[in-house]
Amino acid sequence: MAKTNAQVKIFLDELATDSSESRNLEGVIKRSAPSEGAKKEMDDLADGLKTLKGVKAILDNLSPEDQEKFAEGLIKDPSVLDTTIITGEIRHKAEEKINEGFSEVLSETKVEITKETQTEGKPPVK
Amino acid sequence: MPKPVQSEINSEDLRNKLKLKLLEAQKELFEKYPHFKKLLDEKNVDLLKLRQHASKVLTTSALTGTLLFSPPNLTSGVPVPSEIVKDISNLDESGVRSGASLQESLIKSLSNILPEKVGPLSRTQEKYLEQVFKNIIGVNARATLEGEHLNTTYGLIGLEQHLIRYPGDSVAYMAPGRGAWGYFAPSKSQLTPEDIEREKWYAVVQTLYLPDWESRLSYLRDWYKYRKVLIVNTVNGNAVVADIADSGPAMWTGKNFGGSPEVMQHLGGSRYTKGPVVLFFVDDPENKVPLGPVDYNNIKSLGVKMVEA
Repeated sequence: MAKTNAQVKIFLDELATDSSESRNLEGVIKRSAPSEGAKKEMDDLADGLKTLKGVKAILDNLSPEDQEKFAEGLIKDPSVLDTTIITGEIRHKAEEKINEGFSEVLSETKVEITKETQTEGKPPVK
Repeated sequence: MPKPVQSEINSEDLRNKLKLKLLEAQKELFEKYPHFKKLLDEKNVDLLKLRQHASKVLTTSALTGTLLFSPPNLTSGVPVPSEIVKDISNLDESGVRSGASLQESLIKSLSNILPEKVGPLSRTQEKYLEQVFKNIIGVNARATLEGEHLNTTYGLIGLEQHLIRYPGDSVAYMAPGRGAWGYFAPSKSQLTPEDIEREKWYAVVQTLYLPDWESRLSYLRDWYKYRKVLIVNTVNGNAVVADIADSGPAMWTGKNFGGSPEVMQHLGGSRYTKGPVVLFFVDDPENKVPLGPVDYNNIKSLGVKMVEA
């Protein structure tokens, strides 16, 4: 099934949406940004990192023929990008790489995931 | 936007690290796939902007569908208006449909109206949903209220932590910073039952990404503060009235809305952390609609039960 440009966005957005790494980075950005503008800038950088990691992981796991299809579809005519070539396994690998990238940012910034910043798990209701 | 809080995280370090990691990732990608870079250059496409561009396309597509009264491709499953009206008119005076629970009726209606994937809806779809919510759930909810509309009304909601209610407030799993609108009360002694309810049933929406957020900041900030919204889980039909008390989530997370632990618990049960919902403003000028679960979910005599998502 062909996906529209807009659906490409949805497809990429859906990767690693609820991982602990993603939630922790989101929380840390929100917590540390001194202004709305600074938060936006860091969100854009995280967004770019996610796109690059996700696209590379997808290319890494496609056959040369499908790589060509994916790249050309994505760039030349996103309206006919066929994302069915991206299997569940490839999707999983892409999510792993995205989460790995987020983890590296957190660990290398020496952000300690304390009880306060840890967002993984289910908070109790009041 | 929460004001800076005392923390061990240096904003500048974090920004620099993100930038560095992004450049490294870009280098790795283009070194390994030079033909991919060549394609990008030839077409003058900025890969980092691809998703932002697609987001605009998505919004424009929904808007065009509205203007032309012609649902875009996403709406191919939408029944014609007469079918919706007929379906709703099958409810009797007490809102009961013979042979089916209200919740089943709602789920069926949602599946007829909504596209397979979350994303901005056309005005036509939103109008159908307003009728469905009014007739089945009994809440007067609007996708556009007083001219205000979110970037999307059909999206993914994610679990949020509790918000700090007053200086010194401390509960387990509380977000380290304040919500976008600050404390709910200036002190513990001034915390009212209304403040407690507001935190308990709070929602998060992406005001930050509204196209006119910066130009109309002073008006919009007040308009959105504690604005009531109806949140409907489109998988199981569970519904909650919540109030907007924070801005987010970040666009790159892929989520569009957030809910307090209580909101999420009611929408999908104890293990629910993310899922598709429709979120409309509640038209409640007299402030009569209470925050919390919507009654229709609890009408046990109708056989309506909580459903885990």
